[in-house]
Amino acid sequence: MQLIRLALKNIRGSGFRSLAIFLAVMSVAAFLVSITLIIAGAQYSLDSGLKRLGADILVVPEGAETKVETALLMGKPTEVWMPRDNLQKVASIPGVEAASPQIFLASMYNSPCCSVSEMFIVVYDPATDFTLSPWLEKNLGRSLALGEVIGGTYIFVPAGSEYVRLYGYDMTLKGNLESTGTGIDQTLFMALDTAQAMEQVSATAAMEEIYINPDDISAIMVRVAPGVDAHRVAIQIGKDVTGVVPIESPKLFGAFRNQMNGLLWGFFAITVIVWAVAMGLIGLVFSMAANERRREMAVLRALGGTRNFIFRSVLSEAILLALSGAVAGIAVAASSLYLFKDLIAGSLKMPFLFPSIPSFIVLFSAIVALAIVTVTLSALIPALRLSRQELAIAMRE
Amino acid sequence: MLSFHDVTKEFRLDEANTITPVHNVDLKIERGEFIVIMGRSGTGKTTLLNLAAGLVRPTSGRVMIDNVDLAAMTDRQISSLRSDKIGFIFQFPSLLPSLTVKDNVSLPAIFRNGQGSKGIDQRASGLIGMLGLAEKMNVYPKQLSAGEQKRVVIARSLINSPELVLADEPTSDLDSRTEREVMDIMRDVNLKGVTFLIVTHSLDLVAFATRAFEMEGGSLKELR
Repeated sequence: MQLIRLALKNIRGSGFRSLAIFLAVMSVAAFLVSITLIIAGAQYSLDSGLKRLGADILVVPEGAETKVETALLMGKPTEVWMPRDNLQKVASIPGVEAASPQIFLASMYNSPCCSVSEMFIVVYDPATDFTLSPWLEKNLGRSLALGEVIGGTYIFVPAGSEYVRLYGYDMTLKGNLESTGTGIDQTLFMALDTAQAMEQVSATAAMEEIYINPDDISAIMVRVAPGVDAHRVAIQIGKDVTGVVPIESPKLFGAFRNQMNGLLWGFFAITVIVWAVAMGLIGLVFSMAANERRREMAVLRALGGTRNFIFRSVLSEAILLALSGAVAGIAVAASSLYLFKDLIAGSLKMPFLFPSIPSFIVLFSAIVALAIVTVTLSALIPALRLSRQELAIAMRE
Repeated sequence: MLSFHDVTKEFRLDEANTITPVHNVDLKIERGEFIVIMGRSGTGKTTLLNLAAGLVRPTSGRVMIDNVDLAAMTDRQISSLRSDKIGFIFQFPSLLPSLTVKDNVSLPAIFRNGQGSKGIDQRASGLIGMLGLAEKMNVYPKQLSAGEQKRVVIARSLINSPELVLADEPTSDLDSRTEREVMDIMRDVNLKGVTFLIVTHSLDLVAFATRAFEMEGGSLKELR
């Protein structure tokens, strides 16, 4: 029977005490994992969304920044307009390598196509587009033909149909983009010619006609030339083109990021307090256990156990409880978040995408390590006291 | 084997008061002896056993096992000596409640190097069988009677094949029939060459001894 086996048997033999420590570690680990995953998930989601947008600068009509950010972040449709002339003005600014217009539309309320009541539609211009075209080239090997669309993860063809019907116009869903956890997942992308065909059909086939003004666009996606400072280009756009706001990609969703940072610090403070309280409680449980086990440990010493063995024995129990509690806490929190991620993201009004596997591993390892260090520190003084106690006195108690 | 040379042990109660449970004890125990030290409660018997096992250090004098002074040993050395050479039978219930009978008996073996788990297992089973508890191998201490627990403690004291067994009131709380059984077992083990030092308040055990002493006021007086 080795040290670990003895520790396991002692843990099993002290059911209530072990359960109390296990539950304390599990709760704190679950809390910490939940908070970290929600924050990291939102961050990862934002990063994936930005990567999906694929532009260095997003130019939107002045005053429409929040609407556009909300549309991209949460998939809430918006219709904002600015003169198409702005495209030429932006494209001619030094440092701009590519500029492509987009038109934002919304589906009719409760269209059968969609998982949401109103769907955000992004119309792009294949002639100048540099955001979706690489994805299409890679996944379809060609650009979209007339009547073809692609969608975010949550866009689907209704059961019993082969098409996505919008404004009375049937379109073929040619593929779904990878999940980003943002509003892009609930967005439908179509080329300009398809949007125009949909507009024509809507005049006769739709309950509500859609109108796309050929002189207006909703946003301009800008890619700056390699080595050019995007910030300088954005400033220049702001100066040269009136009635628009250039949003640099890293600053997109800035308000949300600030809100998230505030939440992060709040959660962090709560976590530190909860962790400190748990550490104190676990230390107390170990101290009480140490008092109960004075004679038991004295017997082990009399049977040949060294001080070091007693010390390691108590710490082994602590480490095993911390390890099992942390793993259970992580498993409970991660599986709950995975199962209820849409509900949680919806109620917190933040995007969410499960972090990548390597990020998971790093996070989980960090939390397990933190739990082990914390519980070990809590058990350190009781372990030292037990290993250095007066044996004759302990055996008489 | 074991010798006490003018050993005194004092415990300081507070600034002004000390007690001296062991006072100028001289005793030499040879290999294979079966020594019984008799005395009333509080006369220093348990302290004498603790001194013999190196669990407490003498205030003055020397306790030696195989001519080695226990006071000169480090914690690791003395722990090693206890696991290699000494078996302990405690007065109080000393079985670990979370371990089965077999695991309790095997427990001291984890402190001794060079023993394979298979060998420990076989030896523990053999000892448990020898003490008539084969069918109770996998039960927990709380499921045993006081006499059965005492027998498990004896089996545990023998797992590392000790040269010396220190027994503190080994028959307390036992009925006379079980007391007899326990003493017979210890005598049988003694006949195989294991030295016994038993402290007790029961005069009946003196009959089993090769030499017997009475302890009073911390001092020893040979009875026979």
